[in-house]
Amino acid sequence: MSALLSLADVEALPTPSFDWFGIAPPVILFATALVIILMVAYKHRLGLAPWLPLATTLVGIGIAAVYTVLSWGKVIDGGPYTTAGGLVDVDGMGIFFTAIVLICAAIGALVASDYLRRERLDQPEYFALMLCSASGMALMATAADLITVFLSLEILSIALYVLAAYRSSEEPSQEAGLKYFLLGSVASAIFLYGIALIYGAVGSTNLRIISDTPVDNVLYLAGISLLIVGFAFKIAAVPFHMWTPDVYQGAPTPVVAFMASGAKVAAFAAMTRTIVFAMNYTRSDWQPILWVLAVASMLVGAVSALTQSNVKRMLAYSSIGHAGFILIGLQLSTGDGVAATMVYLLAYAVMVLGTFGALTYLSGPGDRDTSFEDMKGLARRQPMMAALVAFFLFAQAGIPPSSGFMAKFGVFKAAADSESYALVIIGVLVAVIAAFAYLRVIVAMYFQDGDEDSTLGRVPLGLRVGVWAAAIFTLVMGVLPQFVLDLADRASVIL
Amino acid sequence: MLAATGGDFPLLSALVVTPLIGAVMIAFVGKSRTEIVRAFAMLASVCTAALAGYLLWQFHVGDGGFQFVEDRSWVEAMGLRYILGVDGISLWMVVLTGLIFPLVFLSSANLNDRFKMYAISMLILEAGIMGVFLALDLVLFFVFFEVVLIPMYLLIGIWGHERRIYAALKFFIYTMAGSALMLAAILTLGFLHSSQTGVLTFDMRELSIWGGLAQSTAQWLFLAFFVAFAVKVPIFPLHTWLPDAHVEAPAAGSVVLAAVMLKMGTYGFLRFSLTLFPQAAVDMAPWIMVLGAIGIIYGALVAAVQTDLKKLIAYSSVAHMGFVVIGTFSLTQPGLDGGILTMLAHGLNTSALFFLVGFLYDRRHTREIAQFGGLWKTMPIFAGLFLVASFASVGLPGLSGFVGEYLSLLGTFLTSRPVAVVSTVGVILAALYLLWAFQQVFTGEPEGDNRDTPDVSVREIAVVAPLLILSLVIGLYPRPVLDRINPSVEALLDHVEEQSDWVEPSVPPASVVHDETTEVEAGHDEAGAAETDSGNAADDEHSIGNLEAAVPGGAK
Repeated sequence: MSALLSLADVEALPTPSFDWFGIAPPVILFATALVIILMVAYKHRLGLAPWLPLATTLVGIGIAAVYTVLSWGKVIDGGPYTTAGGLVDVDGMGIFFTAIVLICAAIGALVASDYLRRERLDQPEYFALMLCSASGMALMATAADLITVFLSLEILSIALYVLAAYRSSEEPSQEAGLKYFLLGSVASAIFLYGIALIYGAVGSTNLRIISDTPVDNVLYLAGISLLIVGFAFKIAAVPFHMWTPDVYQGAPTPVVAFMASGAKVAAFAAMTRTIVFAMNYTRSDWQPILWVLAVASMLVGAVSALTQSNVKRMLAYSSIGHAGFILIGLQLSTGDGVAATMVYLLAYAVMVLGTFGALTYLSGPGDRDTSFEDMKGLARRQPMMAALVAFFLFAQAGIPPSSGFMAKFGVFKAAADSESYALVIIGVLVAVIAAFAYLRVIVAMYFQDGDEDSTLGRVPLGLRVGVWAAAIFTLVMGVLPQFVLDLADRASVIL
Repeated sequence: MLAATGGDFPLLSALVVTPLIGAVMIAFVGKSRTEIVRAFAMLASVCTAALAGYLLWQFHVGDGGFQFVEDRSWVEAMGLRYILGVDGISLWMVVLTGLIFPLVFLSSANLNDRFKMYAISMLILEAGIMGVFLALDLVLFFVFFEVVLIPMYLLIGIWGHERRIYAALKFFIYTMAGSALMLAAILTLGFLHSSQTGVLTFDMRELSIWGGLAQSTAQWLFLAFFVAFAVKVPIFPLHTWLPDAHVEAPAAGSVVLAAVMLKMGTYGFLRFSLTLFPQAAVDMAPWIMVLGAIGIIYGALVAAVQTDLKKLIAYSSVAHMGFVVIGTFSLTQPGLDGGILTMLAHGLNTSALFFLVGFLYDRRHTREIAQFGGLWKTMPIFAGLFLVASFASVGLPGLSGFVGEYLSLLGTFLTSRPVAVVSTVGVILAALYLLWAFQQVFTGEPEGDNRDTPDVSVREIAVVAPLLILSLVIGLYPRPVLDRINPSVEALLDHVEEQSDWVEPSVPPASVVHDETTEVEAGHDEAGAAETDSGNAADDEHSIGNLEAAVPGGAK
């Protein structure tokens, strides 16, 4: 009886204090998703203008962006803080990554809208799922507890599984969704097992407590390895990359644009917090693992990309290669390295959004024309789009003046600063091999002749805005990167 | 973000930006309005040429340091600065670049296939090349060095001939692979410097006077830079991309490639390899000279057996650039002078030859030497121009080719006699293959298509004439060129001597002639007299005087 009474004693229940301001972006994104779902529910009674889902999505992202900027000001002036009972860290790095996620969601939505109309797929559900996933990503970027990391990982993944299979009438899309789901679930299970082991070793899942508890036993190390496996799957690092080519090739192209950029950014954000920050004192244990992952990803990504005959598949391998370059920055586990990682992720996300965005349009009705054969003569049929794709590919290859060069330069600079010259040399040489794969696309587009007449209509407005914005950003960040570097520098001071 | 530090008109930035403005303007012109595109392209390249001419006019003779320096902050977080500057070594490359591009556009008057893109690529290429020759921050230099790749890749791949895709890929991958390690070396150098001095900078002026580099490290870094530049030059055995790229590129592309892009390599040696790693350069110089000599002989021999006129000229480039390499790594005043002058002369002569072969190809759609014969009778003006260009390229005294090669060999002779002797054979071989080709193409009785091949038009003459006239002027009176090169070369050699154990071999007394007049007999007579007024200050003057005396003498 007394026990029941004490349970009823509301005052005594520990309710964590929520700083809604700090966790506004993921909350707003999720709320927007709910609004869109409500719209669907009342569609038959009230009708639904075709532009409304996209507009709602963009407004939601816009509001989240405003909160992100305000939150940035607050954190820079007042310092980082923890909220929601230690589950969420509001700090510069988290906000920086949240901002990247918002960019991914915005351009991803712009690119997707016309695709959905072209393919006669449902609009609102797509945006709702995408916003759900983005909310998971934003939460993951600020996660301060392994439980938050896992929850947000699931939120972002489950929505992506559905999105990958969004063209449910087409077999490749179904296959992509299923494959992604099965392998992703296994990876999640492994990740969860890792969390369990860490909890067993440390007695807490809170990253701050983990970082303050110097344990170095077998349980702990096994936990770290399993966490790394889980992350490596999400960032598509070799040897946990097997799903990537199939999923990228089979999933709808705008989904790939969003997945390749946003999911990777979020996973890297969580990985930075969990492995680099919270487990920093055991870095001599995990640094070699990341070193191997980085080198293997760069090499396998570059070499496998060479032999592909489908552009989406080639880009999948190239994104594996990019994961390798980003891992160089993480592996260093220095402030410079983390800052370089953040800059690379921003540049990478925008380049990939641009590339896949343009490809969404070029793949044509049915989303099928993505082989090298289909790219032939594109420069004559679609001069502007071909030029944009070529620019994004050169940027991905790291040729200046582009954000891709500055990103690679930053990572190599951080590595040279830590005297990891081996990584620098492997990196610059692999970049040459990787360039060859991109050049093959340009060869097909510019040097080979194909059909003269284009069957594609005008470039839709939303897609054009999204892709051009990505291109301009990529160019400006390549010429005048100071602004971005300053932001990343200020955001990464917490190490 | 770019805060100016100097108040004057940024002339060097204007050289880089003007072609870019042209490219942006062209981008907004409809692609069917080829005439407007053509006019904009011409305008932009002529403006750039005018700026280069103004630079030449304003250049302060006798100052060996950097002039017109612009130093602004660029990416502070990474220690990168936007530094441009020009000295006697880069001046002529800038002027050459400015000169070549209007001629390139003039020569492409009949090109209509995707001309808009062609013009944009060419102008971006020009901006990139200007940047390469002007940048004094290592990373900025690297950026321009890479920027140049894309437009050239497109030029070869889109407007090239049958095997253009293979050639374009080979060009791109060779160059990128070469420069990849240079980026690693640049970073290493920057961080070794910052770890010792606490200042993170890639300003080559500061890095060159640092001198805190361990010798073994310097050698590795030197090698990384060397590979990047050797691919560009190209130095045997890294030359295999060049014949493919040259043969498959459109005529204008070959011209740009030969005239200015190959120079990026030899310029890199002078500006970065020698300046940043003097001791390593001194240690490796004998080996590099051997490679240069191999290039001279190999290029000449392979050129001699070519059946394709363009390939023949391409291999002759390998030989000519060999002279630049031996001159540069002889590390003597006449050698470096000769190297730079050969760069300029090769830019004039070889581009004239490539233009001419291009004109012939436009008429006949073949470059097989065996297909031609007796063209002297049907195309007399063309034959005359080709003959002058060939003579200039062969190194006939009185034309620019001779002065450069003579000085290179002179400098080489001081440092390494065997290399000089072997290389001299290359001069004879050059005469052999070019004149042999000339004989095949132009002499005899015209048959078949050769009977009615039309002669060159006024426009085509206007493309080649400036190059040949300049070649003649420099051949007869190289002094104004050398006056501008010399102080910078002196400063460079002083720097090398200061930072290494190198002692520049002195000019043998017999060749020392100090004479302002160009009379040969007087020059020879005064050789003994000049010997008496010794002293370091006079020494450098001697080599110039000697040269001036020697040139007209040879012409007789």
